[in-house]
Amino acid sequence: MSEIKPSHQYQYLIIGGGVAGTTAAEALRKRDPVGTIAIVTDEPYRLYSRVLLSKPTFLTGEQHLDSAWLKTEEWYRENKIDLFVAMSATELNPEAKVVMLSNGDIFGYEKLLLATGTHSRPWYVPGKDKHGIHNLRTLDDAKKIVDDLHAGKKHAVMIGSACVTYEVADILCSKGIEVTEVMREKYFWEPTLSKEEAEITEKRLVERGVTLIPQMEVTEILGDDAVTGVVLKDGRTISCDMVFAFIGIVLPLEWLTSSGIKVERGIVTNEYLETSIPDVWAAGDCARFRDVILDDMIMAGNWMSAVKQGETAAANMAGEKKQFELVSFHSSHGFGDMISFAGDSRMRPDREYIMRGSAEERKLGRIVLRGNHIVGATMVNRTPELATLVKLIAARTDVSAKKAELADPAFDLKTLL
Amino acid sequence: MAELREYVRAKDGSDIGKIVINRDLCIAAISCIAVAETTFQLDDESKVVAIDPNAADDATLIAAAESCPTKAILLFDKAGTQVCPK
Repeated sequence: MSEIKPSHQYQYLIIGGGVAGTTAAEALRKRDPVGTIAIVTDEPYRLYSRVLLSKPTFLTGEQHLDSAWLKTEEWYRENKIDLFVAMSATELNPEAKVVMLSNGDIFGYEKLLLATGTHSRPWYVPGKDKHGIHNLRTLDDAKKIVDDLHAGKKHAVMIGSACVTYEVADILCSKGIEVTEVMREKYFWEPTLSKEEAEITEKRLVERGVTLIPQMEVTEILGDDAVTGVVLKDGRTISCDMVFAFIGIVLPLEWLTSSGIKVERGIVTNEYLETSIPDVWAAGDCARFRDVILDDMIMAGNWMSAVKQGETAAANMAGEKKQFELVSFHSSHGFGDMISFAGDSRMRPDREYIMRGSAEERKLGRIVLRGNHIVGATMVNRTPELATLVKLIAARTDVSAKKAELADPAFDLKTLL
Repeated sequence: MAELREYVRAKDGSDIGKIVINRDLCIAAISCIAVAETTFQLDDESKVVAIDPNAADDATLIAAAESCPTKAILLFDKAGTQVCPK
């Protein structure tokens, strides 16, 4: 092992150039003005806003693609952060404290951060490589969609039923493109929203002319070079000139297998975001961390968690002992509706669900209790209550005597703080 | 045209003279509220407003603006030069 000679040596090495990794680099530089820092990213770009990619002004081309950049090239130079783009990590050797890279370089580290995010789930349907088949995870994905939206396309088949699907469906409808939604699930947003909440948005989709085909799969893509249609599992054929395959994400962690690092769907960390290997931390979408607020192991794939985890990991890499503490939240927009998520709102047997509001008024939420405490919430068009719910989750407020109030939309949740 | 809301900041010792929120860009990611909740809140349209432009110190305000994934919060110094986002 000791014969491995690194081609580069860094005090702080960060694998992943998204918001978790870049925030960590920035936080490290603030703490340590001289320590060498490198970021390695498999994308060909510096940091941009992944959140912006699915927003209307951006995808329609109204807002220039350059508005996505969150750091300038000078910023990396000024902060002495070496950015290596279009390179991926292929192996971690924790004994030698080196990371092998796809171009053959070997980077040595003193402290390593894994912030590798997610990749789009590969799709194995015959015909998947034709023109007009889209995903939306990277800036390059977004560029292809922008081009297609200006090419006079008429009919899109969408697959998947969550945040990005809802946002993009709205954008397509606003451009006059016919949308057919094919989903494995029984209803749109299953299982992240309750059926009652989801019905509000399903009704809106139908009103706007979207055809919903639940419990269905696409089995083949038709066309020569470009998409002309899809075949469904029941044998039906739908003509279309675009397919949006929002079929989920995978974590690119195979390269870590030989390192022996503990992985349980995500890279397992403690509350300090330390992994099972000394001097190696994880942050952002790839981390499965000990959440001290929820007292549970959590994966949080959203912007604010990635920012805060980057900061916390950096503090600990620089020698502090800082717990990661944040109630995760995010929201999604489409068709004039706003769908928000706080904490851990997953359906589980040990939980109680309190509905709040009404579907008729299109303002309905679901507060999730575990024991006497709120652990999560989902909200359709009740976003102004999101910040209060986040605080109630963080404070672990005992709400066992307030369940009737939680169910009463006229009751001001702030009074529980 | 984008709908911009301007908030004059008159905090003693602060280098920041104005906060501008681009309501068209705001998507209620509310990362700014997580960073500086004394300054930012959501209004009834689920857009961020500055309820007290003088509440947070400069470092917190800059961190809040920088945390915005859509760059909807602009900060200007007393001379009117944009300091964030750079």
